[in-house]
Order: sequence, then structure tokens, then C-alpha cells
Amino acid sequence: VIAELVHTSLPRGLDGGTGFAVAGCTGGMPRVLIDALSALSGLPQAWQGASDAAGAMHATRCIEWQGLARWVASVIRPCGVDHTGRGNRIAHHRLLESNEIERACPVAILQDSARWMPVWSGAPRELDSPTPIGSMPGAVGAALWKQMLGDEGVANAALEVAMHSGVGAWVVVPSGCDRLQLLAELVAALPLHERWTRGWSTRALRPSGGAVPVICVIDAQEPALENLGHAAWVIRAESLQATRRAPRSTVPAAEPRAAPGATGQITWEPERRLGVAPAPILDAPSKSATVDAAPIETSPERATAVAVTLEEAPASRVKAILWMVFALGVVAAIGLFLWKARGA
Amino acid sequence: MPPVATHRDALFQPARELVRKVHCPCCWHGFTPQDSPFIAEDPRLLGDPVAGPTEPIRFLPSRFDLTGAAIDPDGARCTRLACPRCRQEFPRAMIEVSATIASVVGSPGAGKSHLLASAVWTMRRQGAMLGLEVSDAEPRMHARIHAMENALFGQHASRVPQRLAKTETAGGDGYREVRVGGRTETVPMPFIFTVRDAAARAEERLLVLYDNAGEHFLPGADEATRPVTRHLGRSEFAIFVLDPTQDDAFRTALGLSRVATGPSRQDVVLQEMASRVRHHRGRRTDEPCDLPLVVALAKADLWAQALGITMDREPYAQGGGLDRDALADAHGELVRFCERAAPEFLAAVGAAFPRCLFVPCSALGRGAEASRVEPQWAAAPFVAAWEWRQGGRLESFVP
Repeated sequence: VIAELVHTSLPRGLDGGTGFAVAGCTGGMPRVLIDALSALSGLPQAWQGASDAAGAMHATRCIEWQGLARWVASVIRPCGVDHTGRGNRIAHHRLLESNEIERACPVAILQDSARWMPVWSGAPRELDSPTPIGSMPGAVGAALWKQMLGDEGVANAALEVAMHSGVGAWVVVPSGCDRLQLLAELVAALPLHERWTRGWSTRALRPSGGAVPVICVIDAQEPALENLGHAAWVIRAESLQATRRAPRSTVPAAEPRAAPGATGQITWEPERRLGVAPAPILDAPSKSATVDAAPIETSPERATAVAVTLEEAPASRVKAILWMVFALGVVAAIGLFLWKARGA
Repeated sequence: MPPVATHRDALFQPARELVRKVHCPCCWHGFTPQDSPFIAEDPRLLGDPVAGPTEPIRFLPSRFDLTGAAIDPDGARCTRLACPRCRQEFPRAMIEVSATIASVVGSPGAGKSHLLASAVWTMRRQGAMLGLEVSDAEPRMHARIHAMENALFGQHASRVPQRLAKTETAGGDGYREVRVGGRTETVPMPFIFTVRDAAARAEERLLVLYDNAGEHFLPGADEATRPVTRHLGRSEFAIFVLDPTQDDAFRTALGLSRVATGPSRQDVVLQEMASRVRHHRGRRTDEPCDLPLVVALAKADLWAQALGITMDREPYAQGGGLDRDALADAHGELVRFCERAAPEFLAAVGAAFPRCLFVPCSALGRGAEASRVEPQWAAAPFVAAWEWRQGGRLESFVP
């Protein structure tokens, strides 16, 4: 763990502010990193009647810091009331090192309750150096999926669809389930390195900034389900129905498609996927540059090209003009040289 | 072709007038309507480089249908528009009707979200008495304010008082992250309403409001990567929510017990607001802020009686609109109270805002302790500010 940060509502935070503020962070953390982790601290409003445990969010997300993609593990949960008498929450983030990612399962880190503060006590302060994370292979099997849904294969089927979704997925499980354990069993089918190609969450989450899709295991009562603000596959575990939904005004949502039997092989995929690869964020510009030269035709690639052209066109046009001027200059110089040589 | 036939054809409809310049309600970037990209509707066209990988692409169209809707690269009809800079969607009405941006400011815990939800609810229900018709410009984009209204005014099975959660400073539904110029920025999601003068139905404007967390208004919280309060640079009026119950001086003057959480410097928040208004408008430090300020003294159900202010009756005039006398009386009483209890706050107001009106209000009303919410004067600060701006019915009002 490179650094950790705790964000909650206090009469006075570490930086002197009141309300939601940094309660504690690793000494010497740069301001940019503090701001980046603080920005991840929001907790979506829970559904009516949700207990504090059900309203908690366990998540791993990819952020950009110092030009590199970094993984952050976070546990954000309601924690009573603050000094103003309003509901409070505590967000505890850990910025992970690359060697920790190689040997630990993302969900196993979230499940290790000893690492996460349930409530902040005392004055705001700098935290001791975080303890490194050792080998954490994670859960084995899908016992809870079998218990809740009658078939272990449901987890594999849902995972197969979610991993191919390209834009992220919400796996909707029956209300009241232990979503963190379900998530642990969901990722158990993946090799360790593949588990870090997606973000994971136990509450509905928009992917932040980067291009890494997030797979969320969410409660059937999650309010965000009714008002999906971005495109995602919604996979209902009970019926094994997968629907791709997008925030649109006029075009109806895609028809629900029933997945094959839970134990069978998933053979279908979304029709087409557009450049949402689980790659580091900084790969995006170079990818855009190659797409820019794609032929213009009615295809998703063309759509991306259109989008990229909006960004890149002025620069590339100027470059082309400069090249033309340079080429004309060279031709003129050669011509002049030949003319003079002939004269001599 | 006979004239009747041409009139029926969409191709021959008279051109709609558009505003000359639009300011994005998320990043306040100014642009002309023809520069705003459309949002693709084909479900396969996902992955905008600025709005995010899960958002449909934004594109400048070259193909349109007869009604003026754009055709996206995969042939779907598109009507939604986005800002060319932050690529966030805004209601189509913004290119057709002028918009008034308004800022709701206050320290953490002052009651901004409660007041906003109560005011919107009141304006919707009592529009006839206020002389205004208020409706959502794009209901689909107002899920959050609808949830806030439902939480306060919905029919709940339990008799437990319903309260809004503390407003988040980032994340959730209130903000979006975009990548502008390779840098991640957090932009706020506004609430945009169509406001129509009930008497002259043709005069329609948009009212753009924001529900910021109080933490955003504290000194030092204005950052380029989180420009969530930059609406202060564009707003036509501001509402400062002052909570007298947070301040010991006010509480002592009202005969309430002292608070245990330490001093609350709401005058500093006001000065910070004035400073941001000047910075983002490029004004000199000694120049007064040229926007009208309404100071909404919140939670009046707890203290109005002690000051002799009667709030049983809403301050509505007979023919619709606000009662000038009721507003002036309440203003006078509150200024005298502030002179007595918190002269530093009054001095901060006087130094920066030559046009200022004090209005008492209670977002929860007498139902604060009960399960039913009954706002008192909740819409008054908003309607007073709306009518007090240039061109409003109270433009000449001097409190």
C-alpha cells in the first residue's frame, strides 16, 4: 500500500475545513493524490429501509496518478450521525502498489475487515505507514451463489457476460444477500491477473475518469437501477436475463436476451464493442490516433473516428499543411539547384 | 405546390429562433448553438473521449432529417445536445430560451438542500399564487431533485421524520467526471426549470440552480479540477442560506442554548463567495458585486416567534406574486436583529452587495419534529430573487 486516506464529516478536518473533510492520511501525501482519493469518497444514497451494512460500498477502482494507472481499494459505509446531526459516512481508501496487485485478489483485500476503519475516532491526524498486503488468493467456489440461487453455474454465467460487456455490468442479486461474498465468489473463477482488469463494486457505480469498466454486484432495490445514468449491461442473476441499457431519450432499450442454461457455455456477446479496453488510461491517446486514420464507413469504428476527429482534426490539419509547405520548399530548392547547375 | 400543402410539410415550417450564445450549465463554457454536438442514440455508439467510456459519442452532425434532428453515424435520429467542452448533456430548451443561472450558497449544514427541495415543491404547487409556472426543463435529468422532493413530501408509511442526507462533495448523482484536455474535472449537475410568467405566458426563461455541498464554499475549496462553484461567475442572483442556529451570537440573541461544536463563521463564507464572484467576473477587489443577494435566514420555525415575525401566512399578494410590504417588514426586522446579534455578518454583506434582501424561511416548517413537512416561506427567497433581477416584477423594489 502506497498510501491510505480516511474521509468523513468532522467539525474540523486535517486541512482545516469543516463537514466532509480528510480525517487522516499517510504523512507526506501530495495534495493532488489527496484530492483524487477524496473525490472517490461519495456514497450513493441507499434505498429506503437499507441497513448500514447493506448501504456500504466496497470497491476497487482505477485512477490516474502521476501519469500512471493506479488501483485504489475503498470501503465506504454509513457511520451514524455527524456533529450537525445528519447522517454521516466514512470512506477509507488504500492506494495499492503494483507488487501487491500481483499477489492479492481485489475482493479479498476488501473482505479483510481488519484493514478498514468502521468509524473515525479522535482528532484528525496523519496515519502511520500502511501495512503491506501479502498473498491473498481470495475465495474458492460459489457456495453462496448456490445457496441463494440454487446453482453455482449462475455465477459463471453472470461473470462471462459481465467480462464481455465492454462497458461494465451490474449484476443484480436478490435483496438482502451478502453482496461482498457474492462478489468474492464471482471473481473466484478468474485467474488472479485478470481480476485486476476490471473494477469491482458492491454498489452501483459510474466508472470514474479512466477507461476501466466496473462490474458491480448490486441489490435488487438499488435506486440507481431505476435511473441508470450511463450505459451498462444489467444482468439479473435470478432470471439470468441480460439487458444492455443506455441513457437515451427516444430509442427503446435493447430487447432482453435470455442467457443459455446456467451451466452451459455462453456463446453470445454484445453486438459490437467500442474501444473500452481494460488498459491503462494513458493508452487512450495513442489508440485514438490510430483510429483517426480509419476509413469512413457506417461502422462503430467510424463513430469513434468521428468522435476522435472532433478532438484531433485541427492539430492534424495544421501538421498536414506544414508537411506540404516543407515538401514544396524541398522541390523548389532542388529545382533551383538543377537550374543553376545547368546554367553553370 | 399549393400553399396549404407547403404549410403542412415540415420542410416549410418557419425557422425557430435560437439564442445567440449558450453557456453550458455544467462548465459555463460559452458557445453558439450551432457548435453544440449531438449525442448519438444508436446503442452501439458508445465511448466518448471526454464524457467517458460508458457515454454515447458526441458528434457534430452533417446529416439531418426534416424536423432538424441529427442523424448519427449509424443512422439513428438524435435530438439531445451536449456542451462542446465538457460534453455533458443539457436540455434542448437552452438553445431556444434564455437562461438565468442562480447560486445557492451557505456553510455546511445551513440547510441548502432542504430549502431547495422545499422551494421547488412549493413553486410547483403554489405557482398560481406566486404568479409563476414552474416545471422541469428535462424531467429525465431531474431524478435527484425528484428524489429529494419525494423524500420530504412523499407519503411515507412510517411516522419517522424524513430528512435529506448530507450533500456529498464528489461522486454520486450530483457530479460527473469528465476528461478535458487530458485532465479529469468534476462538474456539477444542475437543476434546470422552465419559468413562465403566469400573466404574460410568452415570456419564458430557464432557471438554473445548483445543490452544492457547503464544503465547496469554504475558503480554499475553489479548484480548477473541481470547478463546482464557478457558477458564481455567471449567476444573475445569489441566495445565501444563513443558519442563525449555527452561530452562538445569534443563538444568545434568540435565547437559545449555545452550540457545542465551536464557532461557525458564516460571515467568512459570505466573504469567500464575494471574492469568488469578483474573481470569476474579472472585477476589482474594491468593486461591489453587481448581482442581487437574498439572504435566506433558514430554520425560522425555531426563532421567528422570538423576533415577532409572523410566518403563518405566505407572503403572497392578492393578484399573484409576492407581497412587497410583507417582504419589507420582514427585511427590516431581520436587519435590526443582525445589527444586534452579528454586526460582522451585516458588515460583510454591506461591503460586497449593495442590493440585499433578508427573508426568513423554514424548509420543514412546523412539521420539523413531526412526520409531516410544512414549509413556511420556503419559495419566498427564490421568487423574490427571481423577480428582483433585471426585468423582474420587483426590479424597482427597495427594501
